[in-house]
Amino acid sequence: MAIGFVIAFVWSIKTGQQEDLITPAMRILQDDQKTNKL
Amino acid sequence: MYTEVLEEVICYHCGDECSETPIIHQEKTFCCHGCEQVYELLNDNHLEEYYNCDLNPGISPTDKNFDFLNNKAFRDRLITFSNADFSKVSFHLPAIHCRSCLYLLENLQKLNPQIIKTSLNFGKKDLTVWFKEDQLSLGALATLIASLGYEPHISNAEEKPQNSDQKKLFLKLGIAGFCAGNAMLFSFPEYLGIDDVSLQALFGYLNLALGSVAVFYSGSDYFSNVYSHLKLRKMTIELPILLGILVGYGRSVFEILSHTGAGYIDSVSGLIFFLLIGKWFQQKSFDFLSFERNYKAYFPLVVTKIANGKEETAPLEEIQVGDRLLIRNQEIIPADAYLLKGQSQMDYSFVTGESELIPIQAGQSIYAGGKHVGEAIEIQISKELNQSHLTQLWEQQAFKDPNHKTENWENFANKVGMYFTVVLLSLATVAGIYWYNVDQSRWSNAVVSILVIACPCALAVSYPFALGHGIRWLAKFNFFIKDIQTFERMAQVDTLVFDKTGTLTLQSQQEPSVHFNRDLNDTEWNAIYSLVFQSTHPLSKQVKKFLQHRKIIPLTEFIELSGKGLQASFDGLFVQIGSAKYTLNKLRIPEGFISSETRLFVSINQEPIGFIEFPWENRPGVEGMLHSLRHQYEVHLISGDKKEHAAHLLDWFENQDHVKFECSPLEKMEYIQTLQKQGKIVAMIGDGLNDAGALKQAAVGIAVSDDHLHFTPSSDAILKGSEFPRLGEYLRYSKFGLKLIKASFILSLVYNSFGLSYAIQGNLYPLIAAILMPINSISMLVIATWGMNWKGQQLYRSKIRIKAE
Repeated sequence: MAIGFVIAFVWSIKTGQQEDLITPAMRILQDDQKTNKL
Repeated sequence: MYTEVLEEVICYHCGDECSETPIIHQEKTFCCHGCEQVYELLNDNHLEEYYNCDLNPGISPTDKNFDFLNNKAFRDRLITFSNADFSKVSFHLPAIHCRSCLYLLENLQKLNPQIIKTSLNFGKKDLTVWFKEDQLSLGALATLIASLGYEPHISNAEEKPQNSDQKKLFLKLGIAGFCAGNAMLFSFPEYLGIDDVSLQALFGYLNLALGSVAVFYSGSDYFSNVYSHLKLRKMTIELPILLGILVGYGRSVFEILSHTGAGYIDSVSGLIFFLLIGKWFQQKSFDFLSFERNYKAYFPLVVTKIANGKEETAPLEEIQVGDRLLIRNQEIIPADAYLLKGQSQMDYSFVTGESELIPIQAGQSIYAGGKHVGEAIEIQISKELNQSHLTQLWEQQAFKDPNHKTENWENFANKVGMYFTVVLLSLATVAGIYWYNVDQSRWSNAVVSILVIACPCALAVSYPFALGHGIRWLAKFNFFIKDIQTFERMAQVDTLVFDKTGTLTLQSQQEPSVHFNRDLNDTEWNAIYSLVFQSTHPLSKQVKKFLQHRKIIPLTEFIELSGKGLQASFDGLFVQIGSAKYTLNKLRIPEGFISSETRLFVSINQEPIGFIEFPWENRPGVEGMLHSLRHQYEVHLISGDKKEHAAHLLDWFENQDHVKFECSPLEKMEYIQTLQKQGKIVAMIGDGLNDAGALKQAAVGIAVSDDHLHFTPSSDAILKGSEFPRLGEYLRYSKFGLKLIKASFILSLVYNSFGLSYAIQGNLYPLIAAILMPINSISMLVIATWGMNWKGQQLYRSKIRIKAE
């Protein structure tokens, strides 16, 4: 199980997920366009 | 009775104050047509959400045209990928600042169907766009983005280095953490007492595996660094650390394989983990700034060439000797040239530090980097840019050697490292010999324990954390430091050298105030404007700006009397501008009191009219800052300007030897070198290209900038103009940081000696080591963090207090 986590960690770095930690956090707070127009 | 409340009218788009006549559209006020246009564009495309994400998020757009990007040279550099379906390009947009920017830029496809997708990296301020290039050209795309207010910054320089080093470090850090945590877990049975021998062995082998990964993979940087340092015959703090790690690991291998003990794997891997956290923490980079700009970044990317009677734009690189260029008002001369047609007044303040404008006539030569003031002129290039008068500076040694400053051999940590290694090894030898003679069974234990426990990891942890926090705190005050070595050198500085033009004095923004005893008619104002237009005095620049809506009328009998003023005639009017005495203005205050720098007196037909008063040219707060700095540091002033223009500053630089005028950029650099030969640690504070050499030569080069979007010369730190008066406090903060490190190091020595007393007796059990070492590291981390944060808060509170006053 532990090894599973290590693999996940290494994979996340290789796919570049650690590069930009700020923007995804901001993106989540954006309203969805479609649900707005009710 | 009612009271009238005057409200500020602010622009709905960008939040700036609107002038007296705001533009009104759909019941909203705008400060300019640009803002109104962006609003309309967003509204028409259902992007009004832009205004809901943040308050007045807009930026006033420029109407710059980016079609020059379609030129192959630029296009190939910017487009990162291209195939039949789409092209991918990355723009750097320095104007990004809030959530609304994110909203708008990631919904760009709504504005143009040829845009497929966009993705923003907020921290780096980079926007990646996927678009159909055959239908929407690169230039048109850039122009669209600029028209929204987000002008792309196209740099001349090479690509920034890749992030692969950071990635690797992060990977090693994560693996080290994994190994450390699990090693601690596997060590518990041993500490809590376990009887089953086979299980003991199992855990031992698991630990060994984890430890090997931790030491040889995560710790690999230490191996390579120490090896390369030893080749250069230098000892750094990494040497005793590596020694401690290797000895601990080696001993553990021995104990586990021979089943004589559990080894120190958890302590060792825990140590490596903390050390790597420190390394990662010290790597704070400010991606939206550049500390590395050389002169090439100052020059425009494209120029207007005149060939065969036609005007065409061309990239800067394609300019050759003999080309004729058209230079408009406020544009920069791209290479040494001479003036063909027109008249110019050259502003060399950024390049040589001279604040006076130099009048140039046809046939005279002009140097690269000057800013042209006046009507459009034609010039002919006489030298290529890299051969120009200016760029000789960049041929100096300081610029050629990339490691001129970064390898900080003399810093505190490395000095300690040296002593430590020596003391450590002698202590271990002494203990080893002693135990060998007294009780053979204990000597190896003693030696190993000493080397493991006495490792100066405390320093290696508190260093990056204290300094890393220091940099982050100063960044909150808009003082951006390049790396922690710079922060440490700041603490060691004992001499400050200031540039004048643009650093201590400002390109004055405020409008002068007019104190005339009667109103003037249009002709009289035009006459004053025309007269001032001829003058090169820095104050005339400001009057010209103030009166720029006036017309120029032909004047006759123009005479300039140096030290007194100017005079000329027009159609029966005799206008004089200059000192009070010269213009026959009577003063109520003795003349010596008022520096000629602040008032221009006027008289017409021998009748004294009054004066125009200019706000002090000094940056606000500069006097206070110089006053407080004088007592702790040696302060110097070097300037490319003439002595007369600095009269009001000389009070603060009493020692005449510490002041030098009319310096060329090369002379500024040599001045710093002279000081350094006297053994001084020098910090240079400047703002222009003329300071580039000095900034490079000094131990700490600080570039002052009012707008980080503007060019700043290559430096170690960038300080915002409004924060400049607080420089003394920030230098004090860096001194505090170093004191904190030294104090916490002594503290760690104290309780390390506790563990050392066990080690010397040969009684150090792995359990004790496993407790002591993490405690050591964590306490250093905590002290560094608390200390720097506490002091940082103090700085912040004092700033707020000053603002409130």
